[in-house]
Amino acid sequence: MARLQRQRNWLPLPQGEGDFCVMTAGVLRGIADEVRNLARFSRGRPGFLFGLGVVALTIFLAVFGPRLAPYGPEDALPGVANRPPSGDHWMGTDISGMDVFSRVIAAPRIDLMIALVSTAAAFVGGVLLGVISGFFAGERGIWGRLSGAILRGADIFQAFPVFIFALALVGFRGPSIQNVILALAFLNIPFFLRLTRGAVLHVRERPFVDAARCVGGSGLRIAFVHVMPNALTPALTNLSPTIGFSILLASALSFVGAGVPIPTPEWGSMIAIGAPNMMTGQWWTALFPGLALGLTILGYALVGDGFRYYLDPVKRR
Amino acid sequence: MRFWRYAGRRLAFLPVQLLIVSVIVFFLVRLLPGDPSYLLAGPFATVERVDEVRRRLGLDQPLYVQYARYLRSVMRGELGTSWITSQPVLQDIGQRLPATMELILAAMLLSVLVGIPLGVWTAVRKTGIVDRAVFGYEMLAGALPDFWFALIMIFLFFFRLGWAPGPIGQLDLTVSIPPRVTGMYAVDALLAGDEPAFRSAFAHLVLPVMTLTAIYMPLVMKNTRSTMEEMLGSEFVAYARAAGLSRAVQIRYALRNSMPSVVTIVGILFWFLLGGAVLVETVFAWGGLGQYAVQSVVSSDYAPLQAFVLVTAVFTSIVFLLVDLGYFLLDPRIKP
Amino acid sequence: MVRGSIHRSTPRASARIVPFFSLLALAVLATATLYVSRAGAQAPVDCLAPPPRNQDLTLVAAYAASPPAVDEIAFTMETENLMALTYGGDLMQYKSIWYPDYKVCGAGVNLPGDEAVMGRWAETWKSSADGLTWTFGLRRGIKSEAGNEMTCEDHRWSWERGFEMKGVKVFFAQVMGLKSAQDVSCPDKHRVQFKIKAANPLFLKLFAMNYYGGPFDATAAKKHATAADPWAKEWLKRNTAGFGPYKIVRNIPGQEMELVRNPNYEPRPAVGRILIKIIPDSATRLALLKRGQVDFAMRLREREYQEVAKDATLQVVRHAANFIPYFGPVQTNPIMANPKVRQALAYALPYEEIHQKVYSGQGQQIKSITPKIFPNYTDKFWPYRTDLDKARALLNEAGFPNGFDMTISYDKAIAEMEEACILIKSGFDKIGLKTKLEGLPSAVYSETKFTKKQVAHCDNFQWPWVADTGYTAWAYLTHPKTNVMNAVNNDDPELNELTEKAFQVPYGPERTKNDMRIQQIAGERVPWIFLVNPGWREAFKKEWVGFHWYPDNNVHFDWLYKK
Repeated sequence: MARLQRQRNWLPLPQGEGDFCVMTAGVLRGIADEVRNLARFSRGRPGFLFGLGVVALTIFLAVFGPRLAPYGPEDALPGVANRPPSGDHWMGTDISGMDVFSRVIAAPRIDLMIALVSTAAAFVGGVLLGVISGFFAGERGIWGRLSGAILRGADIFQAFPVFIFALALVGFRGPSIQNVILALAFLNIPFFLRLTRGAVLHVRERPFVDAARCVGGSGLRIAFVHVMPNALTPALTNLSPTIGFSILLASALSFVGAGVPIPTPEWGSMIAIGAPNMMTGQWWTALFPGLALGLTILGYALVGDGFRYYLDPVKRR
Repeated sequence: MRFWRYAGRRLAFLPVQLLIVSVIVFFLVRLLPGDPSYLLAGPFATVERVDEVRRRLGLDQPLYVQYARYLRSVMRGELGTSWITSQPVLQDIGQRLPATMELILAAMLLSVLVGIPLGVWTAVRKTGIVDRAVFGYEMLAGALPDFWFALIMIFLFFFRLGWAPGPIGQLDLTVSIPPRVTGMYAVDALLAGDEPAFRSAFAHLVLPVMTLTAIYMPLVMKNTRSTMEEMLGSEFVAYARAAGLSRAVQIRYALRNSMPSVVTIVGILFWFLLGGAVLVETVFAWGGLGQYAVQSVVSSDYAPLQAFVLVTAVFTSIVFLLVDLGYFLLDPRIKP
Repeated sequence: MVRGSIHRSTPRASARIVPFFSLLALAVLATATLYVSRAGAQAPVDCLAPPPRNQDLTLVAAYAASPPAVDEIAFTMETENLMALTYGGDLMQYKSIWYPDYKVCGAGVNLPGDEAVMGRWAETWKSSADGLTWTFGLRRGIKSEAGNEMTCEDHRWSWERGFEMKGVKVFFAQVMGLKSAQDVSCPDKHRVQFKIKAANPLFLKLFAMNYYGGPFDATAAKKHATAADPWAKEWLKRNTAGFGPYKIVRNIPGQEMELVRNPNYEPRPAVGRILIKIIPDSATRLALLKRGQVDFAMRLREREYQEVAKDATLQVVRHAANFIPYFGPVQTNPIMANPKVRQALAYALPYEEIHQKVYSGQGQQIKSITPKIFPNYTDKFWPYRTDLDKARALLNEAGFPNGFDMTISYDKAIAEMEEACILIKSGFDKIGLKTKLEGLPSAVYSETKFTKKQVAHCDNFQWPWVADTGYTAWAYLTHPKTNVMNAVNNDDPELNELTEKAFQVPYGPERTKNDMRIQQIAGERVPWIFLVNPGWREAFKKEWVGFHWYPDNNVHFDWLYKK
């Protein structure tokens, strides 16, 4: 029995905590605690609540949007091109006869998927690279050099003008959803890398890291087990705004014609389709997607802003 | 000593970094699909014609030869020829850079003139409603897409109200370009005393500058406010208050100490405006560098795209190096 | 210039008979005039009359793009347009006749044989008996804007340069039968002589088609030649040295251009100054036109032309023209190479819907490889209407009962092609195909089209400049290995043979028979599935008149004036 327990105890936890039931119960109670904290935190912060609402709405629409749409989001309806908002078409129709409202609520699926996948990829990649780069910075040996090389690489990529670089990346591989995701992920890795690296540089000077070294942990173990969890804060707080920014960038790319192919519903390409109409007075085709875009990014930014305070016990007061 | 050694190492790496940047730029752009030879060969193309065009554009050589040629010409300061304008890229850039600068500088001026006082004011007077309204505007401005906002402005002020001229660039169609001093039409018109040209250039500036200011001014305002708040809550201001100095004096002290941070923010504003100008230029057909860059990608015009990305990348690399070094200087707890 | 008949008077007319007959003639003339004017139709305009000399107008135009160069090295549509204005054309031109259906003058492309053409720079032209040598006599007194008189040397130098540039002139040389620059010679200062390898009935028409590529003013151009650049390629990229009606005085690529009248050009144009502003977006061009800030907005969508037509201060000038927008299955793809598949697609295409939705019912559905206004046109070989059952049956016969995947490419810059492709996609999906649309930027589209990497495309880039069935089919549907323009890779031996004959067989019953057979093959084997010809459409302010349609489909400002 003792041997079994020892085998399960591969996590650096006190004796007894390795038991499965204890683990699950603990995690669930921890989640409940955090949710309660969050609720208390949100009271009196209408911006944060609004942001949470927007995030929830976009996730809902991403899952159910296309099904809830009154018309097919890619259907060019005969005979109703360029109609202003009315009872039949709440947000009017665009130049090909596609219903704007249907497309506006169907677009989050595409936009959110692009933003979430690319941000998640950038987060994982950026944090990993940032930890290695930060923890081994200045050391001799292979890890030290690797750290330096990673930083130099990040420098090089961050030097490129963001929008044009994304444009060129998508242009190189062709406009499609996968390529937009790739381009955005690529572009955001240096950002998370630097954030994490900065935090790691601070954390590794703390006494408990020295203590862990004394106990005899290997460099990598200390880096990922002790330092990383404490250095995640800047990256985490920037997760939400980065999602918002990715949506904006994807829309900008589609606006210029280098993002999602027509007639896939996407807010940026909808604005592009509606742009010529702005000059001739059909304001609805570009207005609604832009509003949706703006409110979404606003929501994600507010959530990010709120989390920054939430995760920093000092600022929370 | 350790810092300077680090700085030295970084500086030594800089040329290598720039070289790698040039390689990436070159190959990325070259891998863009769309050999323009066919488009340029036109409707009466023969096979020889297409080959001739390709040869003239230098696209018939293997990639590494093209890269070597490219590197050599960059060293000489030649950035290639655009096939859309048939002019050297440097000349194209020279024609378009002032237009972008005019836009950015005007937007910066307006942002600073409005943003700093507003930031100070909202830091000093923490009245509820105004504070919330300003905060809301700040968040909204950061979220609204600039290209969409530009379209809304055009719709309202050009189409509906007819106050502003259409998005056709920097000048009215029938107004002649003032003699070139800076290349910025409004400034040149002023210098030449050409009233109709100045009025036209100014009128065309209004919408794009307002768009850029509305979106980016909050950056200045927010940072001024937070710095001012920090300063106002700092110990030396508290001391001034305890010593009985007037509120105005306290504010003055706080303001003076906020300036370095504000100046940094204005620098960052410039950087943001460079990026933001790209799409605004495209919507307003401004004829600046941003529009030029977007056009080059969309039409597979290799030379301008390479030049634009290369120049920006080089510029940014240097700036980042300085910032990194500064980071270590500012926080003595961190060792490089 | 057509001269009126020479009036011969009889010296013996008695004093009484002449007045009587004169009065009778006058009465007849008066009645005839009354009759014609009462018939309601506008009296035919004399299409050869020059614009009024007492007008000196400025025209402000909104163009979609600027030419990459004003020389053969970069040959986009804008280049053609500007070169036509500044070089004015070659030795011959099409006769301009009145088209009452469109109330506009236009090239008499349907006139038979060489009746369709007349001299432009040439006042005499004749071929040797065997047809291998042509000699043109130049008009005297043609002066360039630099003041130099046109001589044979200008023509000879231009052809030599053309061979060296390997540009468009080489294409024409090929089609005309000129082997090298040596075949162009100057027997004297005012005569140009061409030696061709075989008698070519299209020879004069080919000259008439060279509307943009007339002779350079060799004297002026040579001034800008250097040792490294003997053909003045650098200078001629952005400047012009020509005998045409206008010269470029300002050229800022991507922004604007200014042209002024060549003071020596006859007939003197009424438009003395042209300001061209580059506005890439068609909706903005339309808005500028509606607000009266420009006189002319180029290349709008049909939807936008409809808006122009509704505006009382504006007009849309139309002509049948020679556009052939088409859907092209590229035969390098094995499925597309199957003629039954192509026929199936031809029965699945929603022609009527495209005509109504994309073109608002304007223009005509195309029924032949030969444009309707060209000689020997017939529509009897094109049976295809939208018939989904027939389409499915043919698809079955071809061996694809469950359909197949296909990608349709198009140039994103052309809005009407995108709209048409969206409708074609839904039509094809109804017969079980899985269609994907691929909108590409112009450079990418051109490359993949001409390197035949596409599966199929919607295109409207082709309009045959030479008013001839054989030429049209030859250029676009034959000899894929040597004809770059044959983007669908059509290789039909009978068609190859027949179109070669277009350059040999003189006008007559045999030629007509060949033209018919060519149209028949095009109908049976369907290398192109024809869409809608929207016609030539130009949006102008209402006060402009004097429009002339020419097969290059450009607006020739030198003919315009104001009422």
